[in-house]
Amino acid sequence: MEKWQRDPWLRQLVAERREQGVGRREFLARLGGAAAGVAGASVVGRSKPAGAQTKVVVTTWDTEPNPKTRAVMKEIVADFQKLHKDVEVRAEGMGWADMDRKLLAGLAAKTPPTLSHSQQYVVTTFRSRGIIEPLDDVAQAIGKDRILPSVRRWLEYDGKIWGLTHAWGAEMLGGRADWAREAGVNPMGWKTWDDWLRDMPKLNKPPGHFAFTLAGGHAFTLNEDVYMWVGSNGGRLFDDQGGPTLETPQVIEMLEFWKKLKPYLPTAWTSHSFLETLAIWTSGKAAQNLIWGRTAEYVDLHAPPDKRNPEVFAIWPKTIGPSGKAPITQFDNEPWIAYADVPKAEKAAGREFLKFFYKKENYRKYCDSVPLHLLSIFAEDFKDPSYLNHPDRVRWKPWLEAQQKWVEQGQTFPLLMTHANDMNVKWIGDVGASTILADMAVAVVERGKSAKEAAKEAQTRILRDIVDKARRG
Amino acid sequence: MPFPSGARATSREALTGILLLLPAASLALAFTLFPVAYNLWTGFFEKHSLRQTGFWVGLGNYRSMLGDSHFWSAVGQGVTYALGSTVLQIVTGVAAALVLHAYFPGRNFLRGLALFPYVIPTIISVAVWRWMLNDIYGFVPYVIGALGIPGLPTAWLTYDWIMLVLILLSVWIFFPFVTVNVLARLQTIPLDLYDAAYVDGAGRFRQFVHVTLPQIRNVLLIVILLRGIFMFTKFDVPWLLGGGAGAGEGIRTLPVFTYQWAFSQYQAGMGAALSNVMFAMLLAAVTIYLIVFPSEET
Repeated sequence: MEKWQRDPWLRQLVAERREQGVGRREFLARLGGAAAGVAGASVVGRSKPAGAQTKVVVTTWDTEPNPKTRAVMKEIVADFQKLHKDVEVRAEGMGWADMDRKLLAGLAAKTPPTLSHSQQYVVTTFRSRGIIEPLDDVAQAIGKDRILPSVRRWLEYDGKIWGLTHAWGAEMLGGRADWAREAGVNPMGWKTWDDWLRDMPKLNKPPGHFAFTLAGGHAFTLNEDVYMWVGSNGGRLFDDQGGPTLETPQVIEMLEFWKKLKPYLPTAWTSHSFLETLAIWTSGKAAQNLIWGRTAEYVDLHAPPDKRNPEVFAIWPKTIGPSGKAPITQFDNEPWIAYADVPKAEKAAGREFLKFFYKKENYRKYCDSVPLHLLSIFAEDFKDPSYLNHPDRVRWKPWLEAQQKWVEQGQTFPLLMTHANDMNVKWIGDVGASTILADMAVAVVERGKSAKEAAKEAQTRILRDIVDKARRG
Repeated sequence: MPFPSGARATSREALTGILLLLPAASLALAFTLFPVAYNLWTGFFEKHSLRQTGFWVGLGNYRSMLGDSHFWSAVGQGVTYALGSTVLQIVTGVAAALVLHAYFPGRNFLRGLALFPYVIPTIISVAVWRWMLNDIYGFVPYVIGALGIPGLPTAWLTYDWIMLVLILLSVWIFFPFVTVNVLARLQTIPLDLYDAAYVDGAGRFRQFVHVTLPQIRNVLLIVILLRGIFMFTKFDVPWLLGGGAGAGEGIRTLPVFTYQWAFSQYQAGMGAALSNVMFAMLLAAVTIYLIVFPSEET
């Protein structure tokens, strides 16, 4: 490897030059700028007193701000530091929105963290931009073959592991079984969207409770519904070349279906956040909601004591659209990623920390901090009584089993992906971060725009504002 | 030691002056002029935020923006918000100042209380309003429903109504700014003027029109200008209330739209171009305003 190739900044610059994204003059100017910067930095560096060696600082940003998870992370960090006295780990937990902003600022300032959690589409985008590096050595050390196939399939690009899922969860349709019984509804018999819509009026009793609730207050959560329902209707958001496919019948049918759901949703559903929908469902204001394992905590928080069980807060089947063959569900398969633009010693220490994190005694503690949502990535744990017999996993067994079933069937798909090839769409992260798909859904469901018109507009926007720009470099 | 000649002394003084000014000038250059100039420059590039490089597109970003219906929608929503909230802030703020200028028991307490909305952190104000207006648990929809007031919606945070909520919320947060400024001016108006008007037979209303308004005119002109600029560039309130999507699409004002281009879609070039347009619009509006309403010497 040439000396310059070890520098991620130079590597990225050269890669962009090769892609013709940068002219000769700008390339040379930036190279000159970098050389001046290096010279300046070396002068400043020399002014440090001799022997002022400090600890290697590893910064990790994760998206598990839950107090129980934070406490476990703190323990893991403390244990790691006892073994590695020359390393200091700064593990910071934050919400997704904060992470996005911090990352953008960190990358712009060339001070990314050593490691961070990410979304699948972020891995795709960052990988294509040379922002992250593979983690094969860590995967090898923790036992690549131990990882559940449904998890691993989303981590490998061109035979290399580019991220390591910290824990996974599958989205489910939660429903009030007691109300279904009262209304004479048998949700377990639902197969299609028509079956589902047929029973909606029976479960809809406003102002007491609505039949369904959706988190429509953020583009992120609206995107979740768009791709999940398109996928369950046998459709895709991107073709094999990465072009948007929003004018296909599968997308149009999905929008028409969504419009039919509107009468059964709270009037201001487009302002509700995900957490609000959890409160709405668990406090008895809606019969159904799209939920994750961690919703069990909200059941305990808001539901009457005699209803805090999976017999009342049940898991119901997801359905398929007219063009679909099998439903898909959202996969919370957030991987740890390792940034390229960090010093060598920090990089190495970060990888050691990851290996330590996945050690059985540490990883089990981590998963047990949210037992129904931070599910283990290791296949053997789902046969291990010490894992399965955690009190919460026993109490909410149907919730755990429903998630396992999704994974076993291979019908779990990360955000915006409905096909294995979607993980190679370089601009998928930009589409996910934009409001284009969300605007399309709201235009149809709330503003009465025709599905075809809204899909056409969204298609044009993605092509014009994202794909064409990305293809130009 | 001989004193320097007049010319030498002058040039030395000038040099000292320049040297003394240099730190401040450098700071202004580095932190004000350079970012503005860099932003203008970036607006001519197609540049992804996650790439080190971009390429020159000249006026391409501006052409593309002018042909985008979402841009015009953002301009329309931004102008509606800025105009609506500024006008109501002025009306409410002046009315509150007049009330707080009068003598009544508890006036000082009320003067302090009136500042409350302005000093509460914005995130708290928005969260409380969102909670009060929530269609499932909110106090306001409950009261409206219970009283059966016709013509009022039971769900406010929807695409159709969220702009009105944003305007009312902003008026509530920012009217104390107007009140404080106007109240300060009211306290300096000589009482003789009111006495003279009274002797001339002017009632309360005519005293307000012919004495108070002319006296507070200059303050009002500045306050309107400042509030107009602040509201047109306001980002936090519409962003926190609507999140930029869902019902929030109904309050996707120009600053929110710009933010989404630059920091959500990672298009730094287009983001820069949009903020340049916003700056140009403000500059034009302020210039016209100052020509139409020149300040008068008092």
